[in-house]
Amino acid sequence: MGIDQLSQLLRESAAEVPVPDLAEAAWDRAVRVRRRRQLAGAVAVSVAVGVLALGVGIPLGGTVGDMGTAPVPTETKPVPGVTADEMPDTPRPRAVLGLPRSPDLRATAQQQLSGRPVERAVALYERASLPGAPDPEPVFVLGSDGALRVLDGVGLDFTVDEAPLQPTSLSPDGRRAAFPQVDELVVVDLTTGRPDTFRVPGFNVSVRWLSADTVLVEQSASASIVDVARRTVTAAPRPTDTLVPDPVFQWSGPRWRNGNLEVGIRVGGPSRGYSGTNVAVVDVRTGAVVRLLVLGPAAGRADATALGWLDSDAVLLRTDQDGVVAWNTSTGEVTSVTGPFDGQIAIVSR
Amino acid sequence: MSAASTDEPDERAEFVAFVRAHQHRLMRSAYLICGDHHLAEDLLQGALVKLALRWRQVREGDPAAFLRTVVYRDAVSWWRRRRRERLTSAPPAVSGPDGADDTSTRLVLVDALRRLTPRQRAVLVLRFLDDLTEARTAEVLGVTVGTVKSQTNAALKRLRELAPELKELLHAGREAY
Repeated sequence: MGIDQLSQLLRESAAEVPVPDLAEAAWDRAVRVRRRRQLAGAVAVSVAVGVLALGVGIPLGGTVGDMGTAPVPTETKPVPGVTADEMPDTPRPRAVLGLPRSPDLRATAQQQLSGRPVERAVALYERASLPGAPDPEPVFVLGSDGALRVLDGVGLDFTVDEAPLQPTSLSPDGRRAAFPQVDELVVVDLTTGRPDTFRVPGFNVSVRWLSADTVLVEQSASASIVDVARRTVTAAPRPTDTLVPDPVFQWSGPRWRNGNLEVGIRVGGPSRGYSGTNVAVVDVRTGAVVRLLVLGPAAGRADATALGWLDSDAVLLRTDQDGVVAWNTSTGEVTSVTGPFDGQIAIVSR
Repeated sequence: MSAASTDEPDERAEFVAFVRAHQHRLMRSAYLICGDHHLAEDLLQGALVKLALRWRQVREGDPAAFLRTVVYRDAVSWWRRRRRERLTSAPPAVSGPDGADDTSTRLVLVDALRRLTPRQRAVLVLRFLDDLTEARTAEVLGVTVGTVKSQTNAALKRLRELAPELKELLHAGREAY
């Protein structure tokens, strides 16, 4: 086959395809997404093993000034003695939390949640939407019995630019799921399958469970606390970040607290020694990075999300390339929990 | 105010200039993979947002390679999910720029391309439109060089079978496969 002719034919075949100017719109959208992810990371959920505690200085009904100390800066350069683990090409598989390696996320293949509620959910899944899709993909619920259900009886929409499921959507007891929507918060009782709606006017972009019954709902310039049990919505001041913004590295997505340690995803410039995306564990008392997992600049690991603490040592995170992996922050070992998964996942840690 | 905010106008201008220099080629590639220019636009837009989110990291490396990788992987991923869900091997109807019922050579090729597997299409477009080496193609698609070779051979063989009129034209030049 004449390769020159094939190349020519391919060029001619696509020569008349219109090429819209997408550059500025793409940049503007990325700015919005980045701000939203930084917003989500500003409030770290404090999760001690087996116990949930408030991670921010906003007691119910109080103000930011009532509690908390001044935010501490993070280290911007590698700290001598800080261990930087490297993400392996193919981590060793390890079963965790009963998560299937390749969940079957076809709505036709699973029972509806309303017909088979869970005693407790272990994880929520939502695949990435197809380009140009008018509606988000369905949300799936993995019960503690190992069975998947499709979330039914509730119509969820995209929240501004992103899908409704967030890594912080699942309540710490695994019994509820919260989805920010425009002008409202949707909370689904996973033990009955019944949705509940709370009016929260505005563009709600992120949620954080402060306890089994209370959710912090954030917009770009304001926040509300929804008490699901009492059915109240209370305006709250935007929480202040526990860590001073870093001029080089940017936190991306939610951060998770475990005692005095906080873990999250950072992205930074190559000139600073740790290029690309990394997972950083920070001591919130000093702002010092105590351990790093370097994910590198690979495109398939650029969109990483921290999912929470599995136990006192291990952190769960997700990348497009790897799916869910567990990183032991004491030994540095990285193990593979699921196969590659293009979408969002929320996990409750035990 | 963080350094990110003060540098943003410059970064934005740099990003926009880069995209405008590359979007034609990428749009053409995406179209040949999908067979639909609306879908190709959506794919490219999604990839551009991902690139913009990582611009500060990627700009000093190879943003074109990053973008190409994202576009191709998203396109192949999209096609696999779409085909699985519809339980059919029939690809979407080709939607070209003019939509006319045209039997020109190029539409014969596009029609034949849509009957290949998504990876075969991706390999052909990467190798013969983007002029990537086998090694670079393997890197973009996340497969081995051996897979690139075998997929290329299979794709070209299938093209000859699907488009006999192209077979004559394609055999007129130097044989490489």
